[in-house]
Amino acid sequence: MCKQNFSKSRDLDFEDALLLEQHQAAIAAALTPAFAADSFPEVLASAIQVCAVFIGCGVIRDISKMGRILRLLTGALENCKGK
Amino acid sequence: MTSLGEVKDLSSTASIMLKTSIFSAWGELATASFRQDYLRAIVKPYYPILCPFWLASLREFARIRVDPEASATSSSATSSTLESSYAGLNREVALPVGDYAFLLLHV
Repeated sequence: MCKQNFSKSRDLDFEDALLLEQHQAAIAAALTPAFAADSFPEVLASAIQVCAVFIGCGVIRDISKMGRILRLLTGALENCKGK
Repeated sequence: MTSLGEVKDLSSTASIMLKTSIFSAWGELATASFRQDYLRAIVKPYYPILCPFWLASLREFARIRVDPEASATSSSATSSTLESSYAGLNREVALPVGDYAFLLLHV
């Protein structure tokens, strides 16, 4: 919900940049524990949804800059293939 | 799917919940790609993988929702590993997991 509400907010310090774009690394770091060995399936499912919301909200439009968050999403889909 | 990321030994219920979450997440991206051009380059390469999964998920959700008794005792040959994963799940397990997620699979 935060991503959806703030996806168009500008960074007060850098007017040309979106607020959430500056926090992509922090968001990816916050999502990483959800994929850890001691995580729960419910948390993992929610993290996947968060990854999709972040990718889809338009904060970052350059695929090469989506980094770990996109890799988490594509990796999850690849994991479903043939299993 | 018995593992995702570093999470190992997923139960059948957890596996279905996660698959549902993954397919619905990609469904949201596919839907959003009609408004956001940059998403098409992300989603398009995965359509050959996603479409069969989406169809299987919707088929199973419809079957469980319409006739839970038939889905619980289904012994008919299934055409995908996803459908066989759903076999035996009862209404109380599958519906809470899939109710919202499946409705997002409208590509």
